[in-house]
Amino acid sequence: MMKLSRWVIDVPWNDQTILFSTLTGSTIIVDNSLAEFIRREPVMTDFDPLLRDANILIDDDVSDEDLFKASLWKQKTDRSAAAPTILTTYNCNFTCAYCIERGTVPETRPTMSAAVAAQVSQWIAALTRKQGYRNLDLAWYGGEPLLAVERAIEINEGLAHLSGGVGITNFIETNGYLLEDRLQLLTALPNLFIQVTLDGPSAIHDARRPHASGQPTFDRVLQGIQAALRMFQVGVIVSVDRHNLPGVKDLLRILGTLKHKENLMVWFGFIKQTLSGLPHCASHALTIPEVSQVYVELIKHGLDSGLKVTNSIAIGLCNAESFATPVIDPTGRIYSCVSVVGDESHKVGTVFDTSTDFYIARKSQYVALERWNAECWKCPYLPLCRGRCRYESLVRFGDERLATCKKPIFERAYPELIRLRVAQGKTPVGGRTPVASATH
Amino acid sequence: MSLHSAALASAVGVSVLIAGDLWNAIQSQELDEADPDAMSLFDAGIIVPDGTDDFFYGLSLYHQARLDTRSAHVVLMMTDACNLSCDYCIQPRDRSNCPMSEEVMDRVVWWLAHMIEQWDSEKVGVQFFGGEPLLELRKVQALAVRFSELRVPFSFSIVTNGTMLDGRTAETLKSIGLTTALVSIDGPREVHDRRRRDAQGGTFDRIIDNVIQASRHVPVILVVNLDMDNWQGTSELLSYLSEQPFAPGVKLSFGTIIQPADRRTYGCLATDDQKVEHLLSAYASAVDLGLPIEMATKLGACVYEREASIVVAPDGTLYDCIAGFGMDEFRVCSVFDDPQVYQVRRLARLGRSPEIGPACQSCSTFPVCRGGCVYERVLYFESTGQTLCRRAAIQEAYGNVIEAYARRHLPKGSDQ
Repeated sequence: MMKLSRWVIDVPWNDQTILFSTLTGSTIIVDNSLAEFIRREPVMTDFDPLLRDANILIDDDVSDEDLFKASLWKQKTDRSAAAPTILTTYNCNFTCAYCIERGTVPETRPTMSAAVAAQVSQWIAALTRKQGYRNLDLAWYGGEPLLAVERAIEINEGLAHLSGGVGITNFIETNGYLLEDRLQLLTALPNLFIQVTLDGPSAIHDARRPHASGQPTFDRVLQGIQAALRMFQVGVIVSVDRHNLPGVKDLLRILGTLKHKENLMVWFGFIKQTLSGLPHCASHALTIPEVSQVYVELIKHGLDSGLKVTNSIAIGLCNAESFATPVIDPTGRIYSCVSVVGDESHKVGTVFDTSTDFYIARKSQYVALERWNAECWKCPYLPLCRGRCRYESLVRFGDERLATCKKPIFERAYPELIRLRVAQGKTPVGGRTPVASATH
Repeated sequence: MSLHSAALASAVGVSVLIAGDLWNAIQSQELDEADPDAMSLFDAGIIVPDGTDDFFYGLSLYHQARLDTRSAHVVLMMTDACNLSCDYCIQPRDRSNCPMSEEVMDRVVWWLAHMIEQWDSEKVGVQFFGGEPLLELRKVQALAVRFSELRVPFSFSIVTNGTMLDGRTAETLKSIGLTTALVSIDGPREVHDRRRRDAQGGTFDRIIDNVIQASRHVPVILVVNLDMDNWQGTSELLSYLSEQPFAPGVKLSFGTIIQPADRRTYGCLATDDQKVEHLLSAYASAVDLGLPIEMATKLGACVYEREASIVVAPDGTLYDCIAGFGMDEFRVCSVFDDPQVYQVRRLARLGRSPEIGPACQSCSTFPVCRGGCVYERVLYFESTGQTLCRRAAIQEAYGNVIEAYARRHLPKGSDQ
C-alpha cells in the first residue's frame, strides 16, 4: 500500500489540485477528488506510477522522516560538482549602506595575489580529486570581483590544467560598474553567467549604491548590463528592503525595455539584519511577514514587464550545508559561508593547509548539524527550510544551532509561486480518478 | 630506545604505532601542522585539525562513505541449498533449496546494469554467496561472464565452505574475475568434522587440500567461526595450519557465531565477554605462530548502511542485510519491482538510525559501533531504533588485538 508523503502540499488550481513535493520538487496536477482521496486513505502500490515516481505517493511503511534525513545527506555529500565561492578581492568601488562585509572584512581590503591564486587552483584541484567531484561550478564574489578579474582568469587556467577533463562553469556576482570595460576579459571564463545588482531606478539605486567617489552609478551599470546581454546570460538581482520597495516596479519596467532581454533573468533578494548591526539593515530590513507579503507580488510585476523572473522554489543547500561549497577569501582563508567572510570564528581552513581534509574536518560541524526541532517535523516545508540560515539564527538568537522559522513565508508565498510555475507550463498532469476497488 | 604506543583511529579504522616522544607531543598538543609526522597522523585519523568537532567529523565521514556510490557491491545468493548442515548456520532452517532461476538471473543482470547508472558507479564488486554458491558453479560462471560486459569494471569474491573449491575451479573462476575466496574452517580435524559434515562425512581434509590447491590461483581467507563449542581447539588448528604448504595469499580471519535469523536456539552461543576472550586468544595464537591475519579492526559501512550495496536472494528478493536473509525487517523489495520502489525504500531505510544519545556522542568507539549491529538490534529489541552498547567489549577487544598487532610489527629490540 502507498500513502501520501508528508512532504506534499496541496495547491488549489482552477478546479483541480496541484500536488507539490517539498522533498523532490515534483509538481503534479490531479483532480480534486483524487487529491482528497489519497489524503484520506492508503492506496494500492500500483495505483498511479506517475504519483509514485514523483514521490507524491510513497510506500506506507516508509518513514517520511527517514526519507528526508537520507535525502538531505545525499545532497550534502553529492559529488556531481564542487561549487567554491572565491573572493578575488575585498576591495570595492561602491560604498553600499547595507553591505554585509562592512566591519567584518580586513580594513586594508586586500586583493588576491598571483601566488595565492595559484594556490587556490591547487587547493580546489586537490579537493576535486580527493572528493571525486565531476564538475566545477566557480562563483566569483568580492568586494567587487571585476577589480581583480585577472585572478579569476588565472584560477580558471590553473584548474583547466590541473583538473583535466572536469567541466567548468563560472558565475560572477558584480556591481556592474566595470562590466562594459571588462567584457572582453570575461570571455576567458568558460560558461559564464553574470549577476548584477540593481536596486531601483536611478534615484533609488544611486542613493543606495553610490560609487566610492560619491558619484552615481545607475546609468553606467545599466549600460554595462545592456552590453553584456549581447554576449552572456545576465541576471539582475534586486536587493529589496523597505527603502527601495516602492521603486522596484519602475526598475522592472526599465529592465523590460532592454535589448536581448531573452538573455536576462531577474530575481529578488531581501536585505537582512547583520551581525555587525548595520543601521541601514536594522531600520529597513523587511520582517518575515512583510517578505511573505511582497515576494510573490514582485515576481508578478516582473512577469508583467515581460521579464524572465526566477521563481525560487529552490531546493538546494546553502554554502554552510555542503562540503562542495567552500568560500575562499583573497588571502586564501576558507570560510563556512559567504555571510561570515572575515570572521575568524567561522574560518574552516586555508588553501595553504597541507591537506584539503583539514577543511572537510572543520566544515563537518556546519554540514552535520541538524537544526530542526520537534515543531519542524510537523511542517511540510522542512525539506525546503531545514531550519534555515545559520547566519540569521546567529543574528536573531545569538545561537546558530537554533532554527529560524520561516513558515509564514512558505505558507503565504509558495502556493502562489507554485501556481505561477504551473501557469508557465511544463508540469505533468497526472493521476486518475480514485477507484474504490483499487484500494481494497 | 624509545617507548611505543599503538593507537586505533576508530573513525577511519587505521591503527598505527607511534614512537613515545611523538605520542607525548600529541597528548600535549604540541604538534605543528607543518611537521611531516602531523600529516601522517592526520591521514591516519589519529589527530584532527584544531577547531574540529570530533563527533560531527566522524558522522560526516560515515555518511560520505555510506552514500558514496562510486563502488557498487552486490551479494548474490545463488541458492539457499547447502551440502553441509551446520547447527549454527545463521540462515533459517526453513529453506526452499532452490537455486537462482534463469529468469531471476536475467533480471539481476538488467537490474544491476540499471542501478549502476542510477548510482553512477565506476566499478562493481559481486560476492557470490549461498547456501553454498559452488553448488551452482555453472550459474556463477554464467553471471560472472555477463557482469564482465557491464560498462564498469567488475570483479567478484566467493564465500564458500570450500568443499568444492578445488584448484581447477579456482583457476577457472580466477580467469573470469575472482579476486578472493572466503572459506570457513571450524577447528582441528576432529572438531571441524563434527560441526561441518556433508554426505561423505567430515570435510576437513578435503577443504585443507582444496585451499592448498586454490591458493595457488587466488588469495584465500580462512575464516574461523568461534563459539563455546570450538574455541578451545583454535590453538591446535592454527598450529596445524602453520605447517601447511599454502601459497602466500592465504590469510586468517576470526569471527564469532551469532543468533540465527529464524531465532532458533543454538546452545553454544558465547556472551560478549566470552567472544572477546575467544577472539583475543585466537589472534594471540595466530600472531605467535606468525600466521598472516586479516585484521578485524578494518572498518566500514556494512551492506545495511551503504546505499550502493544490496543482497539478492535466489528468488530475486532484495535484502539490505546478509544476516537478515529471510527476515521481514530486512526485506526491501524484489528485482522484479520497479527500481524506483527500491530506491525510495532503500533511501528511507538509510535514513533510519538509532537514537544517538550523549553517551554515544562522546564515545571513542562510536565510529566502530554506530549504535550496534542492526541485525542484532532487531533480534534483541525487535526494533532498529534502540542502541546496543558494546563499548566495553570493543575497547577490550580492539585494545588487545591492536597490541598484539603492534607486538608483531614493532622493530626488533624496541620496547613496548
